Amino acid sequence: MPVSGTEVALPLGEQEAVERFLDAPGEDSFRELFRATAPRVARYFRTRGCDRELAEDLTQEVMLTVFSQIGRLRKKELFRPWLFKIAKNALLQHFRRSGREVATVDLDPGRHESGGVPADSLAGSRFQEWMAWLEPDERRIMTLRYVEELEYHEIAELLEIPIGTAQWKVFHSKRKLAARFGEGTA
Amino acid sequence: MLLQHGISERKWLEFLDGTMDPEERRGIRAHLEKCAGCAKLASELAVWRNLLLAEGLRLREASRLPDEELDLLLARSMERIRSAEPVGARSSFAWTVADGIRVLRFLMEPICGPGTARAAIELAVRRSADDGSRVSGRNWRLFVGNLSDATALICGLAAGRLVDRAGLCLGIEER
Repeated sequence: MPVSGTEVALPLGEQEAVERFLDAPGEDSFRELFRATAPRVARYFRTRGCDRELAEDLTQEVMLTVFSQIGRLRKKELFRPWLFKIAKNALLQHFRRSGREVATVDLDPGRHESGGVPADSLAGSRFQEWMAWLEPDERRIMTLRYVEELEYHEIAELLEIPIGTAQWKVFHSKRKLAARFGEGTA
Repeated sequence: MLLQHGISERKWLEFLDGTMDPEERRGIRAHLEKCAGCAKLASELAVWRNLLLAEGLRLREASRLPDEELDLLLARSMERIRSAEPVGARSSFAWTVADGIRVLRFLMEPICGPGTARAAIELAVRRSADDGSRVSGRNWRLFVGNLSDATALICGLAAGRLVDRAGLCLGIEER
């Protein structure tokens, strides 16, 4: 039986919420899915140059797409890459609409600024400083791995690359960082 | 350097993430005791793994959506859902599983030929059905995925994609 979102003290785990929504798509199961996944989506936008208001608007768009398009998800194990693909497309659409450069927007933290002031939550962080030493594709993968907490197979699915490539990039990115910043002195 | 010792990038990541098979893990540990170069690399990778994990956690906390904002966002989203289309309306018309399979077969036959289409469908049913014989609304997505994979293998990626899109567009009754 679906559980009302307003009566649940603790949000369901993401996986459980996904399964429940897939089994019984409806408002109650969507509420749980929303609570479990919307913060992750909002963070995705915040770490990619969106201010809070824009991040929330885009998050809403993504979650409504999830609600209406869940039937297109082939395997529940691929929910997170699917979710991030929707988020990525929403961000690209937003930048297209607002006439901003889109060539490097894809999962490239720290590139976008608002009114000359870095708007994203990576700005000024050690993470951003580290990522500046990596290639764009390495930055994307490291951000997905360490900020978004995606597994290697999820990164591979999202970026449409072999798992081995994702692992190789992470391995060599760490070596680059170690060569540049040393051990534990970053 | 390390790869020359038979330890791939994937193995290093598994070793440091703690997801490696225990026996393999013991092997690498033993190797590290004898090989200063590998020990240095393991140390570097471990340090950077920990730094990245800690920084990732800090960033997640810094960009966390406050509960009250999440509640507001959820309320706004539910309002939009309700003002758009009633959930029940989405399934006002639904295909039965048999109809759905028939539609996919008609779609595949001109591309793959009747025999291949039938064989691919039978294979996908066997791979998808819980009891080995039946596809239902619950495992329809899995069935479409398996049929798409089989079709792509036999008739090419474009045909597989067509089956996938068509299969997922069909609303299938849960019976």
